[in-house]
Amino acid sequence: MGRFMRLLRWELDSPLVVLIFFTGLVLGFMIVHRADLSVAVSTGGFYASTSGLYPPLNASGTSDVLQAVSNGGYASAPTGMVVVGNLRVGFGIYTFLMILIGTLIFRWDRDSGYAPGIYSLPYSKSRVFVAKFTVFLLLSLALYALPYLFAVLLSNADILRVLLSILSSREALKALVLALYAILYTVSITAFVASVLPGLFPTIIGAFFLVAISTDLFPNTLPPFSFITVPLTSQLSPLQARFFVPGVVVPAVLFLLGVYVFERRDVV
Amino acid sequence: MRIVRALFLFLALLPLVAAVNYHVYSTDVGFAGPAVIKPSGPSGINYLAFHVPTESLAELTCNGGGGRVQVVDAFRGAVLFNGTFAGSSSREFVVPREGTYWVVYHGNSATTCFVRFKRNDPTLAVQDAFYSIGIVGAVLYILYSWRGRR
Repeated sequence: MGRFMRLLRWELDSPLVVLIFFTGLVLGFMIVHRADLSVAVSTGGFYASTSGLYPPLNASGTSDVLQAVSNGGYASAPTGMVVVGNLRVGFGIYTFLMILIGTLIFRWDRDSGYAPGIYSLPYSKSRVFVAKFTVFLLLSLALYALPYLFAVLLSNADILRVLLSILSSREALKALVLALYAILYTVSITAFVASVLPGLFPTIIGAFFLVAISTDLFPNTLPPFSFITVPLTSQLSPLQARFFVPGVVVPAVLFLLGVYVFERRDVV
Repeated sequence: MRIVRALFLFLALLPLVAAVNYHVYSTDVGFAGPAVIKPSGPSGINYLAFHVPTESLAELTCNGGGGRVQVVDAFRGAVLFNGTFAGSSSREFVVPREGTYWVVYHGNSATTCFVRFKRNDPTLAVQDAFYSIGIVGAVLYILYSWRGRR
């Protein structure tokens, strides 16, 4: 496994990829933090007669208000709406940067001409593909997770305990799994396109085309943006076929196809 | 490795980026409402809930009805503001930290309330968190670069 790790380290050390990754971290933090700085509002009520959960108010009322507040659950509070909603912020820029990172990882060595040096090493081409895909996926996940973590945890440092209970709520987990599907889809589409199309720019344009028709034309029906725009209702489950198939099955198929094409194609 | 240095540099830059965002946001005016709040009583509780991301100066305006208005910190369980009014009122109070707050009304008929948020600035704890991360990131960056140079 040591040789495979060396391949991973080598791919992770590409200066252009690290540059784009760093830019994406800073930009993503700006976007998520800016989205976090917003006022959210909700109105509602608790009625003793219908739910029975909340004791009737006494004359002063104060202590029972506090009891009702603490029973209400944090994820449905406006803070929870902001924190969970921010899990879906920034994908316009993330998908674009993921495409750039993936294209550089998969195509830059071939287009700049040092690929024969790598592929003459004693690694099979499919193993090189798996290494590149692993690095690409890791960077994409970090690109999504790190700006969110730092923006939300640091700017809510006063209420960390509440924040943890919001982030472990059902709504947050649903949003998180759907975001992971969107990342998997974008990563596998880019990897597949990069192993099929010739050259760096055709890959950028091809992958960008496939993602952009989802961004601008059909954000509610086509992945990856259908994962981001779907409302988080209580009936929704990420294991439903309409999410699981484009979010896990299609990426797995594209990954296997990518390995096959990559293995069969000549390097230059 | 470059990627590690990029991560440390990202941490070191966080306070700067956050400061720019907070500076832009500090002059924004946020709104909650206007919302009709029915009186809370023995049958249940009605509320207008709002989330603020920073410490803010809030201006609570209520029109119609009359009675007592309370603002409750939902996460700490404390009453922030407590005031009686008849007909209409406009009061100011400080929202001390980010979080969810409830506006609750005890009175005889429904009132319409509206909250405006001005002078939004991060609390000391948030500033400390950002600066600590920035310092840790910068120190790690220097140590890592120094180690690599030898």
